Amino acid sequence: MNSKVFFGLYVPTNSILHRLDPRMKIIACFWYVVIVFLANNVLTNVLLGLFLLFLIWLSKVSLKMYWQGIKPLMWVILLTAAVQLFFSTGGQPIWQWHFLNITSLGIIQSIYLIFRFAFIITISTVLTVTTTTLQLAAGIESLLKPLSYLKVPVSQLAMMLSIALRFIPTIMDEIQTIMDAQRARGMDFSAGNLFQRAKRLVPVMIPLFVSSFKRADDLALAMEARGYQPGAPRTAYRQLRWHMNDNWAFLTYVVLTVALIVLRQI
Amino acid sequence: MAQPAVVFKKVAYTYNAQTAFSFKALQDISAEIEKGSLTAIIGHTGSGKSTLTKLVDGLLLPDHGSIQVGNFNLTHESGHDELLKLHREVGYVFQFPEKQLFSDTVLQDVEFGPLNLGKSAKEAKQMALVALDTIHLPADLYDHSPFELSGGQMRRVAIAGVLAMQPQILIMDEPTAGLDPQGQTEILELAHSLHEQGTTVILVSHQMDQVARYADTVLVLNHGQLVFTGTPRNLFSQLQLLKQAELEPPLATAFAQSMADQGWHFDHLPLTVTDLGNELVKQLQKEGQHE
Ligand SMILES: Nc1ncnc2c1ncn2[C@@H]1O[C@H](COP(=O)(O)OP(=O)(O)OP(=O)(O)O)[C@@H](O)[C@H]1O
Ligand SMILES: [Mg+2]
Repeated sequence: MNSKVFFGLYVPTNSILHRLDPRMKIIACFWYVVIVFLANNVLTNVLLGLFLLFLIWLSKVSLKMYWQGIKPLMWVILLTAAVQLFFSTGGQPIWQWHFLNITSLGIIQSIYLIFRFAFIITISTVLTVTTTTLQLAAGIESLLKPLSYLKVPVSQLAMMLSIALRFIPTIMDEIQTIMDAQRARGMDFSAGNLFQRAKRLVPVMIPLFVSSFKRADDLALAMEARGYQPGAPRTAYRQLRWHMNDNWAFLTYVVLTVALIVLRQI
Repeated sequence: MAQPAVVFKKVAYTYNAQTAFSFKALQDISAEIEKGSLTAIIGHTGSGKSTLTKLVDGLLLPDHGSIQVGNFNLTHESGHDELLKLHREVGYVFQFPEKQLFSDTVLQDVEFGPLNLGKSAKEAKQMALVALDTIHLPADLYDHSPFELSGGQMRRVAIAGVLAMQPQILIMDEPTAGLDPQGQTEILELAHSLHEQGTTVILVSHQMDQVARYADTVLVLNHGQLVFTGTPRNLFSQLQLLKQAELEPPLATAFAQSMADQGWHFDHLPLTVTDLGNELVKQLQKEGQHE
């Protein structure tokens, strides 16, 4: 476990994807996840896969980084695929044992399922690898803006989100340090039964809470000292700007969607 | 004195190896730390000091090479059980150790280490009381919550938590950071007296004055490489080396150095203010005799 290789952490390669408007990237990511469910045959899956490879190439981030994103979730994916494989019906039965059976349709569907998972994880990684957490929060804030007419405190929510995102790596580092410190004091985290292990979390959780509260307190003070007022209108130092490239990106997605719908029929 | 407490043999460590973020924190370190010495590890920020000390306590394992600590030989294959035993021999005071406090009372927190070592409740309490006595905490604070103490007191309680395990090798990673001058002196004096009682002390420090005053050996790291091993006196007379490692000489040495540039002569390079005073008195007396 290491914070620096946190799933899908920003990698500053300043590629064309990095420079796209975060709103475009958020919408694109969502839309991709939606159209992944339209893929129903080989051609459509190939199309989505190639498109994803194209994005990875554009992002100038090594394939290895993306693999790091999928790897921890591999077991979940395989387990789900196995369930799909053994319990689905339809198509030609190939193998049967008690209530387990493998059918031709089951095989195909579980393969699609694996791809679906991989596509969704990878596209989210493309988003987070090319977009800083600050930009993400700004993008989300801007996209949710209409909700503020319904009295939803959008900018406060966005502030909370960006603070939370910002501190995930810090807290992971902190956990590592505290665990190391207690390990140096002779603590064995891995011995004993589940209950004993749970009890051992106390020397980690308490210092973690103490320092997190302290950090939150300091942060609140620092924000107040710099004039932050919840609910007051704020302007952003970096304004979001929609560029020509964002239009092209949008167009690409329209084309992709149309192509997908066409290929679906084949 | 002959037997070393710690031997580094061609040690290398890389953070996040085999990822896009891999970072070579230490390369090809070979050195010995003598038993019973007070060894300072210095170097600019990010030079790998904490990484090196974590390797000594087995909190990180080297990618290459090995580290001999007492009877333990640490390599990248060292097992869990061996490391557990190692923690009995080596005490590690982390940077800002007050972060590790968690118990309801000061005493309980200090007992935590000995209890982990498998001591009985009575023995653990005894060891904790001895440790708390060493750090001069008023006894009426023993049953207070550690979170009610002042920053300096918390620091000392955390140190007591490590001392209670009675380690043979004590690592202190910047133990004086963020303390007032008196608090700093207290902790350094504590390290010094432990050293005099035979504990091997490894002190990571940014303050050259402390190093000059207390250490008998210095290891200098620069960008993950060991660039110097030897006495403080030897180190601080090599201005070129200091500059390369982005370090400053102690105040007294810098002062003497600039006087030397003005034509003064020093028989001994002064490292501490006391040294400097003595040397100056000698010089002034000589001047007096000339007149
Ligand atoms: N968990 C980690 N993951 C990745 N890189 C790390 C990690 N910890 C340290 N590093 C890097 O390794 C290098 C050495 O770190 P280390 O903490 O040993 O430095 P240090 O000499 O103790 O510095 P300081 O004086 O600031 O405490 C630094 O450049 C740091 O960025
Ligand atoms: Mg350090």
